[in-house]
Amino acid sequence: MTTWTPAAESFFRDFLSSHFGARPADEVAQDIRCHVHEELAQRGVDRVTRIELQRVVEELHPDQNMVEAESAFVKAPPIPTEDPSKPPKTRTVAAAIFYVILPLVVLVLEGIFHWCAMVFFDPMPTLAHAALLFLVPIVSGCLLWKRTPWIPRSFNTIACLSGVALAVSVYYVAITFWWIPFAILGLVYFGFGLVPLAPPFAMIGISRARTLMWKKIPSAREIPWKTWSRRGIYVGIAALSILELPSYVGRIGLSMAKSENVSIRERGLNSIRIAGTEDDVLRSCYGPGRAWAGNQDAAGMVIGAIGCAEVSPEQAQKVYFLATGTPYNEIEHPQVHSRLYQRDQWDTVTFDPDQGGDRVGSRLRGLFMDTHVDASARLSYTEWTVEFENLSPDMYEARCQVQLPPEGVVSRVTLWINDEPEEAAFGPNNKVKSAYKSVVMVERRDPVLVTVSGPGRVLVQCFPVLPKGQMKIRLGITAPWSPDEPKVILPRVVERNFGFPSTLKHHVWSQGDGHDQGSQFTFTNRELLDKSPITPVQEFGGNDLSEQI
Amino acid sequence: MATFYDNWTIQVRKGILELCILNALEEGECYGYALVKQLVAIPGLQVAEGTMYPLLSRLKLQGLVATRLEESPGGPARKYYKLTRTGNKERGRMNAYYRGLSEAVDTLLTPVS
Repeated sequence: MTTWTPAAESFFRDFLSSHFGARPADEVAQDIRCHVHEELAQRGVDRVTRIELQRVVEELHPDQNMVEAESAFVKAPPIPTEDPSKPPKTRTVAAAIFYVILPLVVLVLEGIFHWCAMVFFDPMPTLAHAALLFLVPIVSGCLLWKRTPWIPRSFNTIACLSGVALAVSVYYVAITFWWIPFAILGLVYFGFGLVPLAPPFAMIGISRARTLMWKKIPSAREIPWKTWSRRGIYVGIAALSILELPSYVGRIGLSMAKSENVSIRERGLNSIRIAGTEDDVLRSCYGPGRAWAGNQDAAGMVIGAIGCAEVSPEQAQKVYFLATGTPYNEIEHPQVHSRLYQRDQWDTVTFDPDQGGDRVGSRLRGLFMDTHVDASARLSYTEWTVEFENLSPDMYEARCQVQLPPEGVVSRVTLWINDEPEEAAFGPNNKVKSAYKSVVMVERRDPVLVTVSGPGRVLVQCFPVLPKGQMKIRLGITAPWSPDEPKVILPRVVERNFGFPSTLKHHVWSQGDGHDQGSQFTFTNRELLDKSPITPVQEFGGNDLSEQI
Repeated sequence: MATFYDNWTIQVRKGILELCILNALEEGECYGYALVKQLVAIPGLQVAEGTMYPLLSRLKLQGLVATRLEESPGGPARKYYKLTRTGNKERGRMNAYYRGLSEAVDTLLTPVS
């Protein structure tokens, strides 16, 4: 509340009466009174003294006849050679290039080519992120090139948007500031490095535009400017929090969940569940790959940079299972790129860190299976022919763990080379493993390895499945069979690093002697998957196969 | 003592001040204080703040602008000005005339060396 000293009140009364005489209620007098009040408020004067009031009144030029406006001009102005409010043309062009055009172009290029997403982090994982980022140069442009006065309503809006843009630009500069020195060095010594400087330029641009707005446009000094600008900053912070906070909570949760301490681990797992970032954990399960940065959002980069979230793929896989109750490789391979963009197959290919290893690792795409079963009485013998197809541009190792029928053993392994079946040799586990590794790692060609991986389980490894090529193997599995219980249990895949196409068909053919009859039938992959999330156990008797299937 | 140049510039500025006011209100309603500040800041116009209100009052009487009051929490009610339909029509005519005159006068002016 503004208070006036008695001297100030007296001075103002005298001023009005001296200029308006007996017409203090005149509309112009009221306007002048209102103007003086507003001017004092703008100056932030709480206690109006005579001196303060005199300063304000002097600016009204009371020496002029205020009623007769026609004679109320001040002395002739100096000849204006240049509009002082207008910056020089070179500065205007530079501002346009660095504050508006450069950030806009960089954002568009990022949207098309995902350079930053592939190297550092994905700055625009969602449309909301993209909208916030595009807002910065657009608002800068509006503020820098707005010449005509803002009407009050749109002025509030632009003030609010400028606050949002400022908050967004400060956040993105904060998370990318570490590359700025490298970009400057690159620019100075090699002549390139302008693109990484787009965030700081955008931030400087919006800050400068706001300052210019405040200084050059009189209406910007209205009280609502500050209020709406501040509201905009709060809105920007809130929007960023909604978009980014879950990722930070999830990342921190992931680093806590790997802890050996039970309570810390539980808190970490809870954080992941609350933040709903299971997908991020799933991405971490696949570790670094060719497009490794595609696995990262801003939170991943920031928390990774401060070193509190060094989580290996093995740790992430364990955390994923603890958080969701589902093994990571039972879930479809995550998209390594932004959720915003359409990805092609190349983008989804991940480096396979378990190639030649002892365990089943990442899921691969574009591999197909074709199955044949041959069963005989008493001692059943199943031949399972599996054909892998690799649609990707790189060669891959196909791996799966196969659950054998009870008490079954792999008695024969066949690999097709140049369409000719070649029988595999049997040997001690260690010896065949080292032989396989040397062929895979050094010669990078052609073996298939089947090793015992657990009770009734074998690990099958085939390398290489050539790009756009196929690889065909056959497993011969022998298992006991009793006429008292006339059924054959098929082997099944319990873990795999390849996917099933929806059109895949499993061809099963059975043959028996004595009282058994042969049957032949086909069922689709969908039918199999409907019965079990991976591959089901199929049991059938010799006489009524079709009914039981 | 005012020079010939001083008197001449005063006459020119007097002539275009109303045009400036009407055009400043073209975008919509504007708070009186903000309008005055905006016009005072126009380079070369050099008009005193106190002289604007009599002119605005006259334009109101002539029906070219309309006003409305809005209560202010910390002082007298704020007066907002807006262009009337007549004012907008006059503004268009004045702009056309001013542009024509300016272009015609420009043809007579020789560049200052």
